[in-house]
Amino acid sequence: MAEVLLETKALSFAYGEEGRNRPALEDINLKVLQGEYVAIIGPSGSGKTTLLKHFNALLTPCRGQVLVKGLSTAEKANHPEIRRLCGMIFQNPDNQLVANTVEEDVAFGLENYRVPPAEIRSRVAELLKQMELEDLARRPPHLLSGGQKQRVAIAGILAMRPRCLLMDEPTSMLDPRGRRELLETVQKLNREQGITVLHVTHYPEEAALARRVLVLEGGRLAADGPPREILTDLALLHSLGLRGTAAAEMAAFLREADLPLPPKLLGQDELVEQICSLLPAI
Amino acid sequence: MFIATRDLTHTYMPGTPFATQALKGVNLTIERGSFCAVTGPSGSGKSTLVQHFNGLLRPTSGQVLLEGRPLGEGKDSLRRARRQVGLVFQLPEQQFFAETVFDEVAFAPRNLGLDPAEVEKAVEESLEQVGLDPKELRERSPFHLSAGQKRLVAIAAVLALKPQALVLDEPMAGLDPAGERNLFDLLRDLNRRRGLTVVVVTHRLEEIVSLVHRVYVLEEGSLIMEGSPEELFRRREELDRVGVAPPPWWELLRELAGKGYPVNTSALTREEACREIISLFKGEKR
Repeated sequence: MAEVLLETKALSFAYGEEGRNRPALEDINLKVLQGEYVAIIGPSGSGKTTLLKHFNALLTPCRGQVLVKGLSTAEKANHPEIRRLCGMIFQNPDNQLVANTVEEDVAFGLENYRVPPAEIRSRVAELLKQMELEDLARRPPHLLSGGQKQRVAIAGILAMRPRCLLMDEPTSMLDPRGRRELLETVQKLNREQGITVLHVTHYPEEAALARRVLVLEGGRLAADGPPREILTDLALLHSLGLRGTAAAEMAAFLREADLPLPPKLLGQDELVEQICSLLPAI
Repeated sequence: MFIATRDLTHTYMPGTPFATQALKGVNLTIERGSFCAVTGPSGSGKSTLVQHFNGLLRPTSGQVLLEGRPLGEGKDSLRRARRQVGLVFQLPEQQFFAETVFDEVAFAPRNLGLDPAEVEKAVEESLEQVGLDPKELRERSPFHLSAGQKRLVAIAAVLALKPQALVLDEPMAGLDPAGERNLFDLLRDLNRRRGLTVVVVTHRLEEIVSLVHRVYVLEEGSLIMEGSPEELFRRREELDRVGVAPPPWWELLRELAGKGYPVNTSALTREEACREIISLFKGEKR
């Protein structure tokens, strides 16, 4: 059994001085294992980003505990190691690139952690190659496309040899190609290097790539299960103003017209297959 | 004709090593009262194009015409353009600066020199227009609203100028499904009931395709395709090559058509697509 990487114990949090506002998170108990790919969905204001920010100690609990590889985020002394272990990718790539060239940007974190220059050079070269950014190494990041910028941000995080990627709606500013490239990159990192992924998204098709989906509502954990259970549970999703996958939504519509489709159809390919099996062959 | 471009070319940072030709001789005509979508990959020039529509960017060469008159020629032309064509940027809420929703929305009307009573009226009307309650929200901080409400306040701030056209750059980005639906209804209302010309820049055509009269596809600064959504999606191979994603239900219908079932593959909404499939079962098509 894989070890627990992220854990919250009765985590509660509220914004404002001394947390006077309405709680943004309430009594969250959660364990994420090393190597898991977890999607987090929920209406806006439900606490998705707030939860994510607890895993690299950008926020610390008002009550309860957050542990990253056993290290409590309440201890300031743990923050550098926690932030090395868990890197964050934000929605808008322009908000996270700092340097004048792509390679300097990838090296930025390592310099802050006082990694020796020779080692920085070799790690940056390795990452640029892995993320297919070699040709762009000397380019100013602000002239890259959105998808390229997100790959630079990921390269900068991977340079720190993290165990976990925290992604906050990483594709919402990307075009279809950039989106596909980013999602393939992240899936590959998860599959081949065992990097744990927490992926906040509004898009059911993206959540379906995870092996586990968390649903937040009003700062509480409303559901936790595999995509096939959660993303086809339209009663739950619609009650929160959310959507199932396109296939799940269409299947529901077709069932209402008395098409005998099986339950829990998640993907488009499954839906096509089921429809064809019900139609007379051509 | 309302907004048109003639051989519109725009070069960023001309005369430097980073000179980039973002638009290359674009010709298009947007009819008054129409609902248009501009799509294409990142870096294809979509935002650059629409920022010309109200004179925010000026052509390196070529022209932008507003109601047939070249924008920027003649007294007050730019000023008039900025009133006629309202521009809502990407993630506009990131540009909030005022302490209250009222002040945020009142910024442009005050800049125009309207008197306080007129400002009051403009703010109230535009908040109501986007479906927000002026009484409830006017003294609230715009920074403490929900993501969907923030987006609506940003749009209200542009509507406060009473523009005839509304241009929105990725208006759905970052909204949850409920916020998306809300904004969809608002855009439909502004176009269909209030007669505003609407231009939406988007990577996710499926979100608004059922409202759209005309789609413009850009690639590397050139207009490479235009037409109604149905016309466009008949040119699927070209769209695939450019990287424009069709609505997911289109894929499904196309697969069924590929297997020989008689379905119309250009359904504009998911419901229409489902009805196509249902009609297969009822044997209406055989």
